[in-house]
Amino acid sequence: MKFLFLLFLGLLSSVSSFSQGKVSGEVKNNAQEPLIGATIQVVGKSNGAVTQIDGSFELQEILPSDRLIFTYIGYVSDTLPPVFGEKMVVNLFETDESLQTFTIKGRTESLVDEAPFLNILITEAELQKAACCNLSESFETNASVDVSYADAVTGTKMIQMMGLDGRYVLISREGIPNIRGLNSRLGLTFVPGTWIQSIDVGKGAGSVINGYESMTGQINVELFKPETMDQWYLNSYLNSFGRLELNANRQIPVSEKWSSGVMFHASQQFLEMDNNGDGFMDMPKTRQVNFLNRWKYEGDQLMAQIGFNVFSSESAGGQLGFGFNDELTTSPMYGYEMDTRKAELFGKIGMIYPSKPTQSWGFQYSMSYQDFSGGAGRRIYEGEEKTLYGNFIYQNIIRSSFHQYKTGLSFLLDDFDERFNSNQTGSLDSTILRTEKVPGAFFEYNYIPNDNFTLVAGARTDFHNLFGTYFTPRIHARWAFAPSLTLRGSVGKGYRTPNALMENSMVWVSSRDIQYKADLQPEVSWNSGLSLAGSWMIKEKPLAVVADYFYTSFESQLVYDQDISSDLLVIDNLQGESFAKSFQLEASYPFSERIQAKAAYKNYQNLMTTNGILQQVPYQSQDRFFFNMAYATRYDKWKADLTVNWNGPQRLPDTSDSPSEFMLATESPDFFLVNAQISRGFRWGSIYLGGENILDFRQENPIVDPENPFGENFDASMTWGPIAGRMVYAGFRMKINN
Amino acid sequence: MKKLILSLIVLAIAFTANAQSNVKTIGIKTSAICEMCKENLEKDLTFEKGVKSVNLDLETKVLNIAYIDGKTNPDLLRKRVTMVGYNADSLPRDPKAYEKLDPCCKDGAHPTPKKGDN
Repeated sequence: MKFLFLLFLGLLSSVSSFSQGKVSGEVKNNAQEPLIGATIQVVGKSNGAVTQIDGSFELQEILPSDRLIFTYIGYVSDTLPPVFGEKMVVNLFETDESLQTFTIKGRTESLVDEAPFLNILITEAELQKAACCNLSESFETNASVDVSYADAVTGTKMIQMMGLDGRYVLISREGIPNIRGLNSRLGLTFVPGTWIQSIDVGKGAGSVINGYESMTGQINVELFKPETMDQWYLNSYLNSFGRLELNANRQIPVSEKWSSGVMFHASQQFLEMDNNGDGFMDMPKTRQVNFLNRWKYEGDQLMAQIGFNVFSSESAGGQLGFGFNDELTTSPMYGYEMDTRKAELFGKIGMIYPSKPTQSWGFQYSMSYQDFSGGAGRRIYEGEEKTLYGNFIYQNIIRSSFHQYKTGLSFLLDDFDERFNSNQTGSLDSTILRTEKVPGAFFEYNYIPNDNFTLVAGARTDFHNLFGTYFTPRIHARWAFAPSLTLRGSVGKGYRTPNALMENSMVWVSSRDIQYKADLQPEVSWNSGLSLAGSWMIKEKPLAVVADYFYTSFESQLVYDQDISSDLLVIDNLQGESFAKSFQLEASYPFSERIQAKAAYKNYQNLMTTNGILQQVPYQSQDRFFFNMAYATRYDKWKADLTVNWNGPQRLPDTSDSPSEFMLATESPDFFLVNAQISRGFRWGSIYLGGENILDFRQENPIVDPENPFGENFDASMTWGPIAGRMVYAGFRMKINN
Repeated sequence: MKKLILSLIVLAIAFTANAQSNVKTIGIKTSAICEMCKENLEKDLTFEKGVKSVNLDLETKVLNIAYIDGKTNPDLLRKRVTMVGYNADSLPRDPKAYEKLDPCCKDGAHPTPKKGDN
């Protein structure tokens, strides 16, 4: 904090004058508590300061004629003349109490105003609007993440961002990349909803700190923290499809500095549901047990945590009657099985320096082992993945808090061992072995001259043992150019290694021959985007509008081509163009303290070269509408929620070479999905009752030729809509403290 | 769609319209001193059986409650206020509940509101 005079890219310069002086002091609230991180700006100039941990600040080169603006979120700003030679004590007062609580209430899901990235924070209250069940369902009331249907057998829900598959999103758990590799398709179902404290959805190439894999966005999941979680949190859920869940979180107080938390989840899909009468279960029977425990140490300077997560999950689906213990390759029935187990150790260690509050370092790590065993029909698969990850981050400022940087080193080891039967006969005759070792280094510079502008410029270089050097530049800027308008822009590169077999597990449930033509290459893309966020007071309530446009273009992509023939899935590197344009317009408005509405329109132009033609990616609605209405009485005694999604027509893969009775239309029809929930709060928690897909919309004949699952026309992978129809659920949440 | 919206509206009206007939109001003088006390009392009493609405006036320290006669009564409501940790008219607060209150809600605490952690 010695020099607050600013030179940025040589654009600004100023002539110093001898009458300038030093101003120092403290910023406090009206309860005389120091305000940390309050900003002080000099009117009309580029210098300023941010208050330290004790509320203190210091400004250099201040003229007697200068005016200082003191601002802090949630407080009324104050403009004062400088005081030289003695300590300035500045008191800021909280903004109108009623207005403030109102904004906080409304912030169940909101754009993070201060973030340079287009970040949407989904809080616990928002997550509870859709009570079921795990991370794959956590986005039902969020307009930026779409949920899609994988196939008619495995029951997997997939997510999409900007109209592109969720595998292009970096999904991390508390900053550590988590759902990736062989787990990228199934992994969302292994993060129970009752463990999640909040979710941060970032659109566009994210920060370089967490790696090069965020090609379209980042989703970071924060779990409940040992030190702040409820002493007991119990939840049970039951739905009309025969899914039962039990969840329990327990805080274990250890000592003043140590805390520990345990989270447990058990669930079962015990009914064989076949609502459409095609002889196939609409979703597999499942059994899952999931456990996480972590320990946290919080000292004056050192903070550390270590935890582990283990889970085991089994699924059995396919034709009615196929059980957990049936053998896929010998059963007369067509079955689907997927058993997976994972053990993971993870943690963080970090250090802050009270004397130098701008400086800190942290190290995040995880190591995991996961195995998979399963298959569909006569296809069988076994996989193993071992991962080791470490990320060291050092943070400091350059001369003043206008210039902050983060830099560090990372290491990723991914070891894959996959076995499968390529010709769909008995034995596992084919193997994919791959070990990726990727050390990397990154640097990210933050330029924050004032509250209204942020520039983040970052780059990382990674040395991939198989694919050479990855250079990943990314730049983000935020400019609040008017009191109610914020413009954001970003450009960034991203990479990832595809895992063709697991990422295509939906095509396993078809008679398609999987032809693997490509030499494995990393996928490489550029993403750029612009967004404009505005907020206006209408009838004393804020109408928030966000418009964003993102463009993703692939330099290299592994293309899963179902268009060449209805008998084939051809996996090949991109030959030609592939790009995605996404536009979203979202508005939210609280009609009263009780009623809040949110609506969004989305348009995706997502084109990829398949079968030699640049065409719309299949199973992707070009147009979508989203609407959510929330009603809550004071202190959430009663809450009601209604979500409506309209999905426009989707292109379906070319089936013109099929026998005429098995040919599909070129497009799916459009459809509505409506979910609603009511909950009643009590002192001890809440009970809830809800319905999903209330209009009972179902894709007709989701399986092609279900009578002959081993025949050459069978295909359960061409799914564009819901299969099982209306679902009703009920449950309770109980929190016990003291 | 129409049916659904209609049924939700009907449901919402049903919640607000039931049992308006025997609603009574009461004002209980409390020992509340700050915004957090206001939230403590209002939040707790919201979930008390028979209570329709709660509002604490910090100026007068009077907690105004609308309740359904027959489901609860003034004595039960005053008792509940003491269990949250505050005096209710002439009834003294429960000492254990008072102990658990946030420092800013205790006797002699700074009278200005303290910012909660959201």
